[in-house]
Amino acid sequence: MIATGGRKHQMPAESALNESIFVLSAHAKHAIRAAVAVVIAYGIALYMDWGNPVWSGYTAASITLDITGQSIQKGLNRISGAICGSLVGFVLLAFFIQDRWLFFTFLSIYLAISVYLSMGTEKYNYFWQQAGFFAVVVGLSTAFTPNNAFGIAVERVQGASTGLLVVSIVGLVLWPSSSRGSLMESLRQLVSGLQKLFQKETAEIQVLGDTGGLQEFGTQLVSLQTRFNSLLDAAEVDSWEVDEMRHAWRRCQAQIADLINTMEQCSQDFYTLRDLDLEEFVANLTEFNEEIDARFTQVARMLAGDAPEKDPLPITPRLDGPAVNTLPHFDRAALTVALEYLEHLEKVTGALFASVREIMDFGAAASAPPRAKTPFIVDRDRLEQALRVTASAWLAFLVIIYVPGVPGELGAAALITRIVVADTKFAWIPIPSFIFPIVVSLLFAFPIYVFLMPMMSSFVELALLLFAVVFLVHYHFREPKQMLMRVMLVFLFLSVADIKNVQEYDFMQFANTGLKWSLLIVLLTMTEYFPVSQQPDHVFLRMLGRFFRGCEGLTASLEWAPDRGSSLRSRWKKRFHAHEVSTLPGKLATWGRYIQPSARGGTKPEQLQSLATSLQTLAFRAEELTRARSFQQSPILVGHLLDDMRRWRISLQEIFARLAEQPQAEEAAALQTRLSALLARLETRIKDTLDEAEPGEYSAAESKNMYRLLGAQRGLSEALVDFVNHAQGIDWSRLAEERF
Amino acid sequence: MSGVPHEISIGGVYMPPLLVAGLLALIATVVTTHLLNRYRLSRYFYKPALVFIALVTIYTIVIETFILRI
Repeated sequence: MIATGGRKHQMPAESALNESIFVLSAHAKHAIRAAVAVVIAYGIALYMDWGNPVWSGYTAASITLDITGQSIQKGLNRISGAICGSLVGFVLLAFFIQDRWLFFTFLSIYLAISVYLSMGTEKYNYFWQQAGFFAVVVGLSTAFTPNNAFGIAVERVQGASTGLLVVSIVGLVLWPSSSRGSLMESLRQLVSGLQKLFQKETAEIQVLGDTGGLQEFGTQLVSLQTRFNSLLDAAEVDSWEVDEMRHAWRRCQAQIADLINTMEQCSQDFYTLRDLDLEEFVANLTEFNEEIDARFTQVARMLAGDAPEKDPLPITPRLDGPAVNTLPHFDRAALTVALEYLEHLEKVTGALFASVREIMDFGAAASAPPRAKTPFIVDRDRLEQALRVTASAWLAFLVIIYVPGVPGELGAAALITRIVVADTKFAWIPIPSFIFPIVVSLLFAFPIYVFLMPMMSSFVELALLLFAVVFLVHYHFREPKQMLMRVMLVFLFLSVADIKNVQEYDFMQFANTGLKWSLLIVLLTMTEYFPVSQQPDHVFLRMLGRFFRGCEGLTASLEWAPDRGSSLRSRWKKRFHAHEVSTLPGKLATWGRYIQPSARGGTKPEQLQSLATSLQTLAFRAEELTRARSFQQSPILVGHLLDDMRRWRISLQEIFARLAEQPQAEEAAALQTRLSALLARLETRIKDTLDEAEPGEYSAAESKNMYRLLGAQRGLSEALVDFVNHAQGIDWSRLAEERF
Repeated sequence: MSGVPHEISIGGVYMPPLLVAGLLALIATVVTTHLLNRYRLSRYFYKPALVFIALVTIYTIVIETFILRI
């Protein structure tokens, strides 16, 4: 009995052990897929006796991602980028083969353009990077000999195509996973997250007056959104169901982005109204909240595969007239702004419901709204990165020309330029961080190349070695933050090994690779300082100055002048400032994470993140004010309030100008008193103007627009005080210190 | 200093002297600037980026002249 009982107890443990042995984790499956793809890609390239099998192998290693569709998308970008870059390389060689200086001038201009474009969208980032790489490969690796150029271009495209084909087939055979399932799951998580955020917003801000938890929740939603966007790109490639419905999916993507943005702005706006009981002033707030919540529930239901139980009911939040009339004018204005957000929320949730209904085939297709045109705006940070790549390429070229005997010669310049182009995606990572992965990769590759590879005599042995190395690297360095190490290890191992049908072993191969990479570090280190410093603390302060200059420019554009904003130049300037103000807070948050402790001094990393969040709020408020200013205003109201509005605007411009030079220039309490005095004066003027106004002098719409404008003004003033409060805890003198 | 061009041999690998001097100069500059940062002495320099390049140049010349003796 005892023995039987003991055995009975052992059974589950044994089965768990078996499961843990035989059920592979997702990471192990991914590593096996990558290793098998690399082995097959090398096998094909060696069988076909191509000159550089490493290109097939490296393509297979670099494009193997978790989901087959993502791999195919990346591979297609690699091939199309290769073709585009090769063509540009041919054209440059055809025109300037006799004059290396002209050739390199035009090549560096093309590189700058491709880097600028690569930083525009995540979807086409890899395409433009490859388009830049291949022009360099065709132009430089061939050492100005056109015969080589064509051969190299064809071989590289061939290698990339083989890699893509192999990865696609391996992805279809070994644990195939369609992106659609992951995409649906990602959308379900997003919708559920949005519903929870909405519930928290309606409950916590009004009841607890707290937005702290919401910021963290919003950050999680943004990371879910990034995954959703990437999966959608992949699913369009590997799922015909998604491809067929791609217009509805893209609408859904835009609506999700709009909802996240609106809810973030809503949470900030509700926070300013935390002292008011909103249910008292918005007549149908409870019904409105219930309706929006029900819409999210129905969308989640459809995504689970069930038909919706009810369609959205149109609902417009409305103010309770008598109750609102008891409020001060600025509270009325804030309520008007809040109501506008709620109306927008109602519109977008309705549109999301229609898009999901179409995707899940539960009803008629939703009508597509016309696509808004986005005008071209110059982004200074992308320009800076383009300038850095150009400077690095020129430095490498000059070293090759004027220092005789540099290993690899023009090939080294090509390698350096390609790595610098790739580095633009992680510009905030300091160059010393690259040294460790490079040294480790070289030390890892050296014994294998020198001691192990010469012992091999067949492809089977080589295949086992390749499988083991790629599997180990992909399995061990599987986290996204370990990507740099993973890429370096595989790339340097394959470069050093330089596997060919007629294999040669030469210490020079290893030494030259080491020297080329050392030269790369030298040049990257120099271009981190010159021509524009890329040190995170320098970039942070520069961006902060630009943010406030953008705010100043945007505030100046609010001037009430007859010819305001009519010229092309003033419109372009306004768009440029708006772009700077809306994009810089996110960039500041990213660069802020990489500021060295020695530069931060007594400032904690969380303080810098809070500062970036307060800037984001300021950016939202500035955007809100610009939008409110664009609506038609009553000439009578404007006439009465013009002087006070101008006083407030000029005062704000002066504050922004001071903050652009010295972020610690303002003292929170003094600023609060000053802005409150200006707003109080403005409120008194409004009261007097409205008391004196004859009935019918201004319409209800004009009245609403004026409140909208006043609400935005108050919001901006409060956001500015909030920033100054956050800025007080930062060790600015340490941050601004000159540093290498 | 001899007027005859020659190469540096490291483990049988021949390298241009300027490259070796440049690499050593960069390492020396990184160490120097790291120490200057650590002891907060870099704040006394105007435009450290230019100082960095000047240091690389000075170290290269010093290493070439006195250590590699080209």
